[in-house]
Amino acid sequence: MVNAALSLYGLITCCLLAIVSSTVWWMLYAWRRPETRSVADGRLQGTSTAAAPSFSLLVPARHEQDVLAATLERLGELDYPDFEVIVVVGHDDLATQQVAYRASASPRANITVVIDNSWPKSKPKALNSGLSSCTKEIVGVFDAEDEVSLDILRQVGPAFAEHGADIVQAGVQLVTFHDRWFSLRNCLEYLFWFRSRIHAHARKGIVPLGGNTVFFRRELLEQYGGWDGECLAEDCEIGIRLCSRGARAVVSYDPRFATREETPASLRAFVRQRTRWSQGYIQVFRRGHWRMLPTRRQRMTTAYILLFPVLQGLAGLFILASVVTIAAVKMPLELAMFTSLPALAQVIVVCLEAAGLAELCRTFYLRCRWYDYLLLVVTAIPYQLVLAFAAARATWREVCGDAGWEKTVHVGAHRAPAAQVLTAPARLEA
Amino acid sequence: MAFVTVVPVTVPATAVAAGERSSLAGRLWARLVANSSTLLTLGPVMVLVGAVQAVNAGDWPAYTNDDPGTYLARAWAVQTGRGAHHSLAPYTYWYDHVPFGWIQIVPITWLGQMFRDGSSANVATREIAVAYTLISALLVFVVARRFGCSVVWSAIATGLFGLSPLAVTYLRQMYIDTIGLPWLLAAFALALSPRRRLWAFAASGAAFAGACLTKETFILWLPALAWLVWLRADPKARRMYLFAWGAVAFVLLVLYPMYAVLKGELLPGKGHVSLIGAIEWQLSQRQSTGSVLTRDSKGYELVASWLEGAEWLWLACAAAIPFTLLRRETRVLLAALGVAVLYVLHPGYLPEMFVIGVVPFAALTVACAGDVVWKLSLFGRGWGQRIWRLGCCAGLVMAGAQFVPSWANADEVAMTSNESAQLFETENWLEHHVPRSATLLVDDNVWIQLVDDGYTPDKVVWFWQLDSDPDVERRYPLRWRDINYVVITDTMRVNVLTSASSIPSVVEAIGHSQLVASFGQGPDAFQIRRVGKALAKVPPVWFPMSEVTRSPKSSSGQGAPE
Repeated sequence: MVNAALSLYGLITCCLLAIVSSTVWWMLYAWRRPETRSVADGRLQGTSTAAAPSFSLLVPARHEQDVLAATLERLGELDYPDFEVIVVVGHDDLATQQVAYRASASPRANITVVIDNSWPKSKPKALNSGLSSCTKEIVGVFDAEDEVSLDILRQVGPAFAEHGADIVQAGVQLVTFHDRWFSLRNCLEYLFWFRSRIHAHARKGIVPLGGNTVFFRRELLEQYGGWDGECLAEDCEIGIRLCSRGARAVVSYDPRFATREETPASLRAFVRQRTRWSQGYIQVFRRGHWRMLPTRRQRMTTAYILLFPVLQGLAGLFILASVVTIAAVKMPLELAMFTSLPALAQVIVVCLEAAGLAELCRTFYLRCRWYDYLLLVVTAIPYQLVLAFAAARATWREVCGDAGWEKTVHVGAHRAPAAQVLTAPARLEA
Repeated sequence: MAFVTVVPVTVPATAVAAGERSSLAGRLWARLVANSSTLLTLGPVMVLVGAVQAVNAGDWPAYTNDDPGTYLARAWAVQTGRGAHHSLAPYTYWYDHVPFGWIQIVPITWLGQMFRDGSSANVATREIAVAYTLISALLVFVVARRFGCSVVWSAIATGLFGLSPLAVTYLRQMYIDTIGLPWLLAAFALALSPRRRLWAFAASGAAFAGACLTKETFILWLPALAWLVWLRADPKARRMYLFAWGAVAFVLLVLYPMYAVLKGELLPGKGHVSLIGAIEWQLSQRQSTGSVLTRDSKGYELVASWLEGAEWLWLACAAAIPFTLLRRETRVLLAALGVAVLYVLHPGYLPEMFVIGVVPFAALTVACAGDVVWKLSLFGRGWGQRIWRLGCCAGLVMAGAQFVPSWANADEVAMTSNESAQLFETENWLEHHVPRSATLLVDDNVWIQLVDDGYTPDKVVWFWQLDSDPDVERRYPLRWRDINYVVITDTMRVNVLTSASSIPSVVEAIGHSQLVASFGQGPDAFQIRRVGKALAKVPPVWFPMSEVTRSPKSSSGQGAPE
C-alpha cells in the first residue's frame, strides 16, 4: 500500500517535470539559437515594396464607450492605402453605439458601424455579424481597447504575399505591468507567448491564435463559416480549425508593431478572463477539429496545447503541494530529492522570467526597477495559485455545462497620458 | 534602434523528403574524412599521453595519500548500498566533500565489476583516474580549438597538459579534482560552442555544476566561466543566455544543500554531522599550510614542488599571458589563472591537489599564445611570414630541447619504477595471516582492498573514524582496546605526526601494540602491529610515545581526505 502510494507520487512527479520542461522549452524557443534572429532581421528590410492587399478591420465593442473613441481615432490614422474599419456594437449598448457613430461621422476615416442583434452576446457572434459587412481581401480583428501600431498593416500586408499566408498573427503585448500585483507576470506571459511560444507552435503548423491583431483571408473565413459563436476561446478555435483544414498560418512578431494592451483591472476580472480562456481551450479540445490534423505528432501536440492551461494550473498546485509534502512527511531521501526536481525546475522558469522582464523593458521602453524583479519572485507562488484556481473553475464550469461569456472590463490604463490628453478633446468635438 | 531581439516571421516547417537525408554511416564517414587532419595530429598526441599516463600507473607513484581509497570506498558504499543509513560513505558521511565525484564513478566500478574479481582495488583507482585524464586531455584539445587555435597548437595544448611530470604524478591518483576536471573543461568547451545554441550554454551551466559538485574548489573558476559566457552569448539576448546558464547551474548546485536539509543536517547540532559545520571546519579550523611566500612553511614547500614538477610549463605560461590578451575570448584564461594564483597566495589551508585544476589552463594559455604568435604577420605576408614562421619553429625546437629531455626522464621513471610494493605486500600479508574475524585499524587504501577481498566492512575501521564517527564509537565503545591490529602506512604515519590530537585513539592503539610484520626499510616502513594491553616494546622510530597514556583520552576532531 505504501509502495503503491510512493509509486503514484513518483509518477506524478514525472508528469510535473514533463510539464515544467515543456514550459521551459517553449519559453526559450525564440532564443534557442542566434541564427534565427539574424536571418529574421534581414527579412525585415524592404517589406513595403511587396504587394499590398486591402484590409477590413473588425472592432467588436461592448460597454467600451470609454476607450473606443481613441482606438477608432488611431485606427483611422493607420498608414496604409486601402482599408476599412467596421465597428460591431450590440443592439442593447447605446452608449458605445453613440461613440461609434460619432467616430464614423468623421470624414477622415472609413468607419462603418454594424449593430449585432444576437443574444446572448459574445465576441464571436459580434465578429460574425461584422464579417458579413466586410468587403476587402483581408479581415483583421482588433479589440476596442487596443493601442494599435500605425504601421501594423504595412508589416502584415506583405506577409500574405511573401509567405503565401492564409492567416497572419502579429504581436500583442500587455504593457501596464505596474497596475496590480499580478500585472507584471501577466505581461511576461504575453511576452513569452508572442515572442517565443507561438512561434514554436507555428513551426509545427498549429497556431492557437490570439484574440486580436490577427488577420485572415476573407474568402477562407466565409468558406468555413466564420467564428464559432458558442466557443469561449473563439480565437484559438478558429486557428486550430483552419489549421487542421490546411490553412497556412504565419506568425509575425516585431515589438515595434505589437499592439499594446492593458492587463485586467482587478483580480476578479483576471480570474474571469483566465477561466474563460482555460474553459475555451477545453471546449476547443472537445470540439475535436484538431483530430483532422495530418500528422500524429501534430495531433498530440495540439491536444497537449489545448489542455495546457488546465495542466499548468494543476501542475502549479501540485508543485506547491510537493514542497509542503517534502517538508511535512517523512519519506525516503531519494524520493524526496526526486520530488523536489519540479520545484527546482520552476526556479529556472523564474530566472528566465527575470531575463524576460529585462528584455520586455528594453524592447518597449518601459521603466523597470530592482523591486520589479523582487515582485516577480514574490508573486510566483500567488500567481500560480490564481492560475490553479482559474483552471479548476474552468474545469468545473465546463463539467457543469456553464458556458456564459464573462467579459473583461477595460479602463485604458495602457495608453500614455499624452495620448489621452490628445484624444479627449477629439471626443468632445465629435 | 535599440531593439533587443526581433523574430518577425515564423512559417510552418516543410517536411524534408526522405531522399535528402543521407545515411548515418555516410555522414560519419564524411565527417571522418573532413576531420582527417585533426585525427592525424591529435591521434599520436593522445596515444602518447595515454601511454605516459597509463603504463605502470598501478605501481607509480606510491600510495602515500589514502584519498583515492576513500573515494573508492565511498563509491563502494553507494554501489552496494551498505553505507551507514542512506549514507554516501561506508561510515557517516559528514559533508567533508561534495559527493558527485564518487557517485559518478559508481557506473564505472559497476560495469567494470571492480568490486568482484580478484584485482587490486588500489590499482582500480589508477585505472579510473587515467580514463578521466584521457577525457580531460581530449577536452583540452576541444577548448583550444574553440579558442581559435590551429589543430597543431591545440594538440600541443593536450601534450602540455598530459605529459608534464607534475601531471603524471597528480593525475594518476584518483583525486576528486581528477574526476571533476572533465566537467570543468566541458563547461568551458560548451560555453565556447561555435553555433552558440542556447542549450549549449544551459549544458555549460550543468557541466559547471557537475564540476563543483565533484570538487568544491572548482567554484573558483566561476568568474572566468561567467565572463566567457557573457562574451560568447548572443549580444542581442545576453541576459537570456546568462540567466539560462546560471539558472541551470544554480538549481543543480542547490541539490547539495537540499540533501543536507532533507536529512536535517544543514545546521550544526548535537549528535549529528552538518553541512555548515563541515564548511566552518574546512574554512577556519583546518590547519593552515602557512603563507607560500615564507620559506619553510608547508605551503612554500608544496608550491615549490608544483613549480619543479612542470617548471617549463609555468615559465612558458607566464611568458604567454600577454599574448592571450590580444584575443577577446582568451582573456578569460588570465581570469582563470589569476583567481588560481590569488587562491594559492591566500593564507590558510592549501590542498596539495589544487594544482590539478590549474594545469589545463596553463597549457591552454601557452597554446593560445603560441597560436597568436604563429599567426602574427609582422613582416607582411608571403616571404616575410615564411621567415617569421621559420623563426617560430626554431624557437619551438630550442624550447623543446630545454624541457623535453627532463620531462622524458621523469616520465620514464613514472612508466617503469615500482613504488607501491610495500602496500601490496602489506595487503597480501594481511589477507594470508590475519583472520577475517579480527578488528583492524587501517587507512582507506587498505580498507577498500580488504573489504573488496571479503573482510566485513564493520570489522575494518578507517583510522580517522575511531575518534569522530558516532557510529564507529557506538560499535567500539572501548575505542583502541577493541582493536586487534593496526596497519601503519604512510598516510597514518603522516597523520599521527601532524594531527595526533585529532586521533588520540590511533595514537593509543599504536602505543599499545607490538610489531608483527614490517615491509620496507627505515622509518617509512609499513608495519602491521597487534594491539594489546601492554605498552609497545619497540614503537616505530618516528612515533611520539610521549603522547601515549594509560587511559584513553576523549577528544573530538574530524579527519578528511584533502
